[in-house]
Amino acid sequence: MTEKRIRWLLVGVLVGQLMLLSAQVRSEDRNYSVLEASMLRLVAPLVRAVDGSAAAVSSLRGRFETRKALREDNEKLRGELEAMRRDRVETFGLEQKLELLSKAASYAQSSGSPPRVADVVLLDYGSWQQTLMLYVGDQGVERQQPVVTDAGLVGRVVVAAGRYAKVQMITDRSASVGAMIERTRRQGIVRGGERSFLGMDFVPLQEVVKVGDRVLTAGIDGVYPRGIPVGTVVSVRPGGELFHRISLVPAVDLGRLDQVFLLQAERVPPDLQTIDDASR
Amino acid sequence: MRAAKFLAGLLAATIVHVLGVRMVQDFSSAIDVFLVVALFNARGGSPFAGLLGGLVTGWCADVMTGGLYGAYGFCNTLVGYGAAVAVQRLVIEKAGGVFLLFSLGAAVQQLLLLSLSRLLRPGAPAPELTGLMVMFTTVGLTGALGFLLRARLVRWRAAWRRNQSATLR
Repeated sequence: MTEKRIRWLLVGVLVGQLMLLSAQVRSEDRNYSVLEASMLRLVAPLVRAVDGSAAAVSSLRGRFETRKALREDNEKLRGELEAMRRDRVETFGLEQKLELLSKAASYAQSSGSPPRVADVVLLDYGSWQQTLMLYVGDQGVERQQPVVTDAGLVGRVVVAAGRYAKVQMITDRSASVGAMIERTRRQGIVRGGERSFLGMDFVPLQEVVKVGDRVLTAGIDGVYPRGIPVGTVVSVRPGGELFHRISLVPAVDLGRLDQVFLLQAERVPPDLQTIDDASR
Repeated sequence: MRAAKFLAGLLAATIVHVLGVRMVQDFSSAIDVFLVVALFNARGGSPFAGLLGGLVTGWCADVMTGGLYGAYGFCNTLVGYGAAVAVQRLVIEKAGGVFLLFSLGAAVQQLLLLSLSRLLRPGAPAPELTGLMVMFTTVGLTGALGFLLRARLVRWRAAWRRNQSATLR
């Protein structure tokens, strides 16, 4: 191939990629291309295989190391078991009370479908472009599905490619979550901030916000269900004009994810969707 | 043969990246293994090979990062092509030169990446300067180390062949 042709090819490739990039930017809702999904389908199984092998090796090493410790623990546990059997009788009454409470909790649960477990195959939280890749199994996954752990909110699915998904974490600068302060129920928008912190916008200065206040999802953004812990307030400063500048620390330690849960996305009802599209 | 070598390099880079990220939290800030593969490929080939290698490694890197899809593809394509053109015009036969080529490649890639993300998404996060310096150094060192190892391998193979032919005589 002549030098001139190669230069034209270079220009073509660069322009093509710029178009691909700008198509993603144009959409507020981070559209993904067929190319991205295909590449994810191609590369993710390899990533999962490597991750699985590494986990198997470390677990094998761990097994040898813990075998001796397990023997000692076994002896100790036998003694403790006797004591616990005695305690068991005492806790019987508490168990009955707990059963009643769990029935009440399941009744109050708004979400119809149970959460699904997904394995984390790649987590790169240290880099400035954070990445979370999941293996979701045969059932597949949909875009916008909220991703949570037992501690709180992780993010939402932005690329769905068969059994694999890419997640936008809440600490991503372009991520935003409709949230509320648990104590006062005041709503605001939580955005990704500096490094591992989050920022909460649109909370007026009149509102009393305290360090240590818990922030939950408000269920107003059409993605996340209401009541999932987002983070805890670590600093409150007066902002430039009408609003506080609030910093939060995420409820979930995003650097230590192993398994996560996928929830059903909170869909906007079709009638409201039409109104929303028209207003745009 | 070249393509097979490149694909093997890409496979190795993917494995190293996944294991590295698993073991060291700041691994991807410290080294871009896909860029290293793109630069090695560009060093030994034509501008066309450099362009193509940059594009493919960039797309793989894009899958592994959370930013806009195609940003690494764009940057690595330019860096791969630029490195191949530079290698054609300059004689780089010392480890110091290779170190410079790889470090410069990493610097150009990060500069392009940052400009692109700032241009397309104002307020996008920026990497820390220390992290960037570490990356330029590690990419440069990996390139120089690869060059030295390859040179040693070539010398060792030549010596082995000489010995073989002497034995036959």
